Amino acid sequence: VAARPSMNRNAPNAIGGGASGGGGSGGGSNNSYSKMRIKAFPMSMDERYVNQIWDQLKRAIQEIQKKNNSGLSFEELYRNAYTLVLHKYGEKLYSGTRDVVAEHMAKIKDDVLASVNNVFLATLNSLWKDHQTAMVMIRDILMYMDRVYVNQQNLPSVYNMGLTVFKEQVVRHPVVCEHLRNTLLEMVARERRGESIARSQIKDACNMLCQLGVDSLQVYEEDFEQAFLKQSRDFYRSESDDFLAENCSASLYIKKVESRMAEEMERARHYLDRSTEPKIIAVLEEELISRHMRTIVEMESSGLVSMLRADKHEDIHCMYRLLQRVPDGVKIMTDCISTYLREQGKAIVAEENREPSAYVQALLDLRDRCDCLLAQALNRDRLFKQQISSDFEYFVNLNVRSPEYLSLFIDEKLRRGSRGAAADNEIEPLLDKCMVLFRYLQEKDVFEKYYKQHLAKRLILNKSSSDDTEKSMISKLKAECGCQFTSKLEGMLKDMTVSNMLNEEFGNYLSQAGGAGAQRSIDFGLRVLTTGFWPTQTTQNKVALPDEARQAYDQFHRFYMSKHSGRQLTLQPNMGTADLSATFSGAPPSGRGAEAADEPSSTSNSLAVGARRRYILSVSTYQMVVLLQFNRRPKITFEQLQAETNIPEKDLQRALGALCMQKMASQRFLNKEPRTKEISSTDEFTVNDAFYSRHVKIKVAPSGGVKETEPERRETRIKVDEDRKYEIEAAIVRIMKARQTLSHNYLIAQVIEQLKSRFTPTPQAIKSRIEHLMDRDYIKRSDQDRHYYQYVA
Amino acid sequence: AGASTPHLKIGAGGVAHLCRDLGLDPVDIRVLLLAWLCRAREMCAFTEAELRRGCAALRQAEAPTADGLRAALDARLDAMTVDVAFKDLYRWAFDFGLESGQRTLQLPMATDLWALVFEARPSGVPPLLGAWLTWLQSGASGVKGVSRDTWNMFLTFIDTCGSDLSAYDHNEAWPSLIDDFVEAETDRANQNLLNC
Repeated sequence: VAARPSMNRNAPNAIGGGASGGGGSGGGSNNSYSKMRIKAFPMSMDERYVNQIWDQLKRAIQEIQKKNNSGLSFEELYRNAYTLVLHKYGEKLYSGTRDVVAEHMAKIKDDVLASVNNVFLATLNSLWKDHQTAMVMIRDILMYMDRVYVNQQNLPSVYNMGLTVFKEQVVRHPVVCEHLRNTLLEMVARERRGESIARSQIKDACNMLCQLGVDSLQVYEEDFEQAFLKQSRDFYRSESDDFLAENCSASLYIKKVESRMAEEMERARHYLDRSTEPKIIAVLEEELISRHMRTIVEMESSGLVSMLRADKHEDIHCMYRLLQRVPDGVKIMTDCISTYLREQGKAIVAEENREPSAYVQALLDLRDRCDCLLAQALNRDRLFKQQISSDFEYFVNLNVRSPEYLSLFIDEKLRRGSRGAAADNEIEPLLDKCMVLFRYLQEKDVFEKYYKQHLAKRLILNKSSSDDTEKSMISKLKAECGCQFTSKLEGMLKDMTVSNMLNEEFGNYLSQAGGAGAQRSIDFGLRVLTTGFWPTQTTQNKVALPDEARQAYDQFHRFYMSKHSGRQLTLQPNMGTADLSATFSGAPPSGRGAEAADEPSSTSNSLAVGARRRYILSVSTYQMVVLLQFNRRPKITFEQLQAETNIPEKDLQRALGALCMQKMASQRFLNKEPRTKEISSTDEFTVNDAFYSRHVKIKVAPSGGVKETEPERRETRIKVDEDRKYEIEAAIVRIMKARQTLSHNYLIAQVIEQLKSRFTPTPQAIKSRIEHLMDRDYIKRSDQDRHYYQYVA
Repeated sequence: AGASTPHLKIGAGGVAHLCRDLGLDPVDIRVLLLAWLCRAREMCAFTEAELRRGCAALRQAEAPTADGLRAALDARLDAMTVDVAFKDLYRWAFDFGLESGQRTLQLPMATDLWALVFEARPSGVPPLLGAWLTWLQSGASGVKGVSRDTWNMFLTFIDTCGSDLSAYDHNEAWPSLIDDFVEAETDRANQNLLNC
């Protein structure tokens, strides 16, 4: 109630009440100029007056609805509405308005029904627009009521009421409702078939539906969206089925799906409500992708496998993008790729008789292909990365010789002058790739053993192409496995450096010492190896060195002992090389053998003209010892050689084999009677005077880089198993010492954990070591609980 | 008679004599029982102190006679109703069977002792024992000796899984010899099932 100070009775401009006679200014007879009295506004208006106002308003509303609003006075209408509300006639106003609107709706409805068979949508849309405009105006007029009466009574606002009436009377009329829905769906269907349609009409209709829900999208959803989604689902279900039945091409299908998805997104954004977009996309994903993803991935001759075979990264990328959208989509791809990859990998590792370098190169190439695939087609997705790594780990370890082969491959790359040696700038990245393979190995300790062997050969035979590269490789291994792995390797390298220095110093020592024993009988160099670093040697025997060699060694021995008195030096005859000057007479073997001259001054290498030919033979120490025997006797049996030289049988056979087993007569240094494949103890050897070669200097000693024979491999494997026993026991003792008491299962788990970077021990193997340690009183079974062990201090 | 002579130690001959007096076969369980009660260190020999100890344990310290000892031994065998006592006997038997300086019991001795000692078990000779001994004697185990831990654990094995091998779990801390035996046994049982 507005209370106004009554300043002037009958003031013509007093709001409300105004000129009409009604609520005059009753009371206040006692007013004087000096006092301001606040009077309550006249509360009653007579019935007639109210109806008058209302009729006026009603007529105005109807005019508005007829789009004849230009002649109306907004101010007057507003004022009228205001008055009514003020005098507590809000209810009349409200319900009256509603009735007027409803009346009008009936008319609209008839119009709409009439248009059902003819421009229905356009009619509906324009009638709706008109209604909206009218309602806005009506709302403006009745704004006071909205603010005051409606709020108090918790009624829907005028505008919303107008929406509701429109909805109930027009849009939800059964015929209209159904016809609207069908029309919209039909238009969408036509557009999907490729026809063009009046998009703006659908847009307006959808907009209308959205608004009719007042504060929610319920009307839109119920009247249109649900049906739309269902129709879409059915449509795409059959479209995808048909497409796949006709076209057996995965990439074509994928492209089709992509285009449909783009189309639907665009549709939703353009003329449907935004909220429909995720829902329709979900339908598409389910119908087009989820339902068929297995089919397209596994499709013969066009599915993922054939894409992989042909390296079709573009297609794979499309497939990936698509399948990413649905749950398990990516998993189907990873499974498929995994199967393919494992098959490829198995083929590489299972092939018999493959050379190690080809074997490893094939694995590296496969890994490169995978990297390419990941980068170009799969966005380096983590799931794929992990799956590929686990696949590699699986098949690399299927073949127990993988560690040996990898080491041989690296050996070839690091060796000077080998066929496969890598160029300087290529070597580092190549070694990094080798490290990737190394990480997949489960038996890293086997690799270590072979790597040590191969490194030792490279160093001793002076075959390393670059010291820096060797160091770089070792530091890579160190970064991967820790310094325990590499400390010995580093020691080996250091020994080489130290040996070089020693040789220099020895030279100085000799030239300074002068006098007796200072003269070098033969040209030689020595390498000193620290025992713990180098692969274990089993030979400690006394091979009968020729005198010159023995003297040379003794000289060095004296020199070395003078520098390091506390140490012990042992000559290793199974290693080392010698250059021999050999003369073959051209005549067939006549009992006069060759003279292997070893005069100190023999330095001339010239090929003698005529029958006598001189060569320089580069041989192993053992071979040197054997050959020099023939200076004393022309014909020697194996047994005699054994007795004279003291070389172990297997080594002697190997040494002789390289000298006499060549196919062509001119290639053999020695002749063996009888000419059987095996060397037996009664075989006789003589110098082969028919030997001939174009080169002056001939290498006989094997230069390494060969994969082991089966018996050798078994031997290495035995050594590895022995070492593993110690490592397991060391781990057990370490763990028990730290924990003092531990349960059986937990101990096993801890041991596996500690050793997993080198190899994977089986629980049985660990148990066996535990028993061994129990026997030796390192640990004991707990008296309280037989499942627990205790450390014995 | 041997008990009444003041020798410091009786050897194999004396032990044989003693057994005759007692009316017992030298490989009778009651002889083993006597050795245990004496806490004899060596087989086929008793020191005087050991014999005294044994007689005291049998309550025959005063004027021991052969018959009295024999009766006491019989009673003692019958009285072996408590597993704890049997366990003590069982574990001691390992040391008894060891040759001097050895830590591992030789297989033939182990099998003999096993065959014998279980006669004193309160709940009787376990059915698995036969299979166990057969398997050991066949050489399939590949071992030449038995460790103390294996010996001790065998009793636990009999007590827990003796009647039902399916309760056995090789992931537990059982000695690997027993693991191998159980595997062989279950294989054999499966074979029999297949062949039926």
